[in-house]
Amino acid sequence: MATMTLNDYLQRVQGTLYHQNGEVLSDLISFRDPHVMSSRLMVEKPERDVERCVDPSIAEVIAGHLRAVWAIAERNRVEAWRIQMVVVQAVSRFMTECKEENWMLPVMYTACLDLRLFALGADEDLTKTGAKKPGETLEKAAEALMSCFRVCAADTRTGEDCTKRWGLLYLVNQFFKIYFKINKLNLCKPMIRAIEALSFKDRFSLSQLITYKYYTGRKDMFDSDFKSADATLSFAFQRCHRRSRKNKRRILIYLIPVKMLRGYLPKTSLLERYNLGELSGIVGAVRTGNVRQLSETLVKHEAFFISAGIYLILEKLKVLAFRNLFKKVYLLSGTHQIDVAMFVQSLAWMQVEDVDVEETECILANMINDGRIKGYLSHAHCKLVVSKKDAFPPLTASFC
Amino acid sequence: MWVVGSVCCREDVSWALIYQFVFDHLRAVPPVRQDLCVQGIREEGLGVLQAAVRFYVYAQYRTCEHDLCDFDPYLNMKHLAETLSLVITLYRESTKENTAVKSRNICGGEDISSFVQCDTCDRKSDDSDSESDDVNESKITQDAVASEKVNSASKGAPESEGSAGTDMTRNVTEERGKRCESDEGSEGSGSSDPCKNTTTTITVMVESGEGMEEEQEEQQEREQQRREREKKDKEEEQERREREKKDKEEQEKREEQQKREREKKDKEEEQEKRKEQEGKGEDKEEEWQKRERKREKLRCEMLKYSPREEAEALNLLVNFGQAEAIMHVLKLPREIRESRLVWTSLQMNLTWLNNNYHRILRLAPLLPTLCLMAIYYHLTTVQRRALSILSCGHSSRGGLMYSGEDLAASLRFPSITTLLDMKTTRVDWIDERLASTVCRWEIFYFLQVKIYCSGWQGEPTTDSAFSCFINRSEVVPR
Repeated sequence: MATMTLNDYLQRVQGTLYHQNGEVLSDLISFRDPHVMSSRLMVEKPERDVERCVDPSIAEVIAGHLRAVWAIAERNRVEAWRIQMVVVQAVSRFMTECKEENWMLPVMYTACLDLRLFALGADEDLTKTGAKKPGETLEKAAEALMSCFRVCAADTRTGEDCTKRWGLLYLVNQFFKIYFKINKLNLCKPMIRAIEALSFKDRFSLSQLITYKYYTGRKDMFDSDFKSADATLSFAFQRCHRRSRKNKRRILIYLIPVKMLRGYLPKTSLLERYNLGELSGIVGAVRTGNVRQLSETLVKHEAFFISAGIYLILEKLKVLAFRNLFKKVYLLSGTHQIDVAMFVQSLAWMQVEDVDVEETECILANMINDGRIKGYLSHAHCKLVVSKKDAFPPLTASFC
Repeated sequence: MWVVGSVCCREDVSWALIYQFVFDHLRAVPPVRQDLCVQGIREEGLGVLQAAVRFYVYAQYRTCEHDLCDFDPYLNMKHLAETLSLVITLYRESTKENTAVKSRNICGGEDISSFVQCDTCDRKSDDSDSESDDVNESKITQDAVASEKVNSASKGAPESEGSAGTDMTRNVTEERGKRCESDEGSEGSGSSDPCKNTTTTITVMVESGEGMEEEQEEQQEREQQRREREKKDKEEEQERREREKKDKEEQEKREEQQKREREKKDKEEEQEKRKEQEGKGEDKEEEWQKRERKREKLRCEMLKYSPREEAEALNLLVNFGQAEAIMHVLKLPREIRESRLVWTSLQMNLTWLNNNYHRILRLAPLLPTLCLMAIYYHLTTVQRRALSILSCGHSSRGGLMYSGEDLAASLRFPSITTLLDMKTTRVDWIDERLASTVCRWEIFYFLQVKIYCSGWQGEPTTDSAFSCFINRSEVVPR
């Protein structure tokens, strides 16, 4: 394959077109196939040769692909990205011409994936030189993908067997990857609406479903909808193949903070198995109510948490650490009327900066408001009066 | 800049007219940005945009009492948000350019740019520490090697001389004895007395051939050795007794010290009890004074900020509670993120994630006036949420058990009358009043805020009426 001649290649393309073999044709335009290593296919202007051998409906796609192979050989990622944009537009036109058929969907998948990967590379190159703002190439790639999205979404009148709407989930996943990269999560909403409107949304391939659930779970997490985030991320984690350790680890990075906010702490064996040592300090601190350790761990692994985007959610776990600390104070005091000064002392011992009685009352009032403590505060007597039965209900019971 | 600086200071024209005039002129600023960047006069462009941001923030506060025909708060906020995001983007781009230029100029990566991330900074500092440690270690090893050489030379000399001959052996014993003395560090022992180990191993070699004389000599030597041994035993006993004495003395000293410490602690506890008995008010006053001094220090530190720090802090306060603004600041270089102003604004945002209204209302007075004007818009939301949390947390059998004055103080209202404007203290009624937009205008009308601007170089200006709202501080003008 790495020494394939141009004629050989074009004949194969024509053959797949004749037999409507989408999988093989997708390999022939994929940059993960060995044919891209062949020097005989690195042609700067292949249009004439292609038009001679290949059907005109797909000639533009093949010519563009060969030009992109040449551009990659020249190590020009920006040019490859520009050419791939043209290839994707050509693929969407090809799909429009083929009515009531969906055998070419793998071709669309491959072209879109290569476009996103080239856009990432071009973004790096252009940002280094300062020619463009970061994320611009990805935004333009998203616009090109939108043309394919419209073609697939508009195919409503064909039967389920041959509708192009089966390609929507793959495209939506590509959009998610772009929007999360450029930090424009608000653009994900129409995509999610389009998928939820499909009648066969649960019959897509498992890999695509897991990717979809992973990104929607992350989006729910950023929207503070932790119940929904828990459900979707748990689905993704449980259904993900156990050999895909990297993917499982990625899911866990978001699933663990969400679960912790809902009151479920992970075992240390799980954190060790998936190499999540950064989170073990957090889990230990929340479990024991050690606010100081929680703050120190947040500072220590700040870079990791910020790059993963979970720093703010881990800040919210401070409330749980306070709750566990205050429960210990309550158990030590032995009464159901506890002086607020004892809570102030416990916070001062945990080196919480500048804490006073009023701030401690504020934290306690928040816990009562959230249902984490059953009782009330007496400002005049400076005491917390808790219920004699179940003063600190289990964390899993309280809403968040 | 002339428009914003001089026109705003005019007092012969109504503020509404001034606002309209300046607002229309500032609408032309954002499209000019591209030209400014191309022409390479980015700093001036940044200055203009930042002045525009300050104007919008000031106008947002100053004009809140006016009618909708004079001032549209939504439009003002929209322009403020756009200009602010432009300023932030320009600072980010200039930062990246600076890092790109510096990375090109750097040889071998030894020089650290100010915007390299903390990890690499830490690594670099670790490398520099390890380099100094290496230097120290090399010195230590040199010294060790030199001392080893000296020891080997001193040890080798007597060994090389051989073991035959009494004179030689005596010399050996003397040298070893001296070395033993120096090793033990004991003083007062004679230089002629050898160490135990050396005396047992050393044997005097006698080469005479006559029998009786030899025996007598041997007996004499044995007696001498016995006497020497006895002397040694006595000296050892004396040394043991001296050591025991010293140990006893040290133990006594320690016990005395512990006693003194216990006495001190008892005294301190007694003093504390007396203080408690005398009145907790004094302690509270002292604590309050300490806190005030600390806050005064913080306030003074916060007045020293650069234009970039001001822009980042304003971004955090205008977009209060928004995750995007917080994440942007968390990714800033450490020196900007940890500046007092940006750090305080960040803490206010982070504590708001956990609804810690008390810390926000406590930190707000420390902010410079411009930043306070940026946050005032959100303070009402904070106060409203605080009231609902307080009513839930302090309610007993359906009623809010909280003294009115304390409530007004903790929510940073000048007095209970501004909070209530009524005689009753029913929580539901307070909540309804706060929920209505009329309440906010009433508060500021009551305060009769008058703020005079004097230049647009970031100098804060205040009036004493403002201090009523923030309840404590008097921002010191530069």
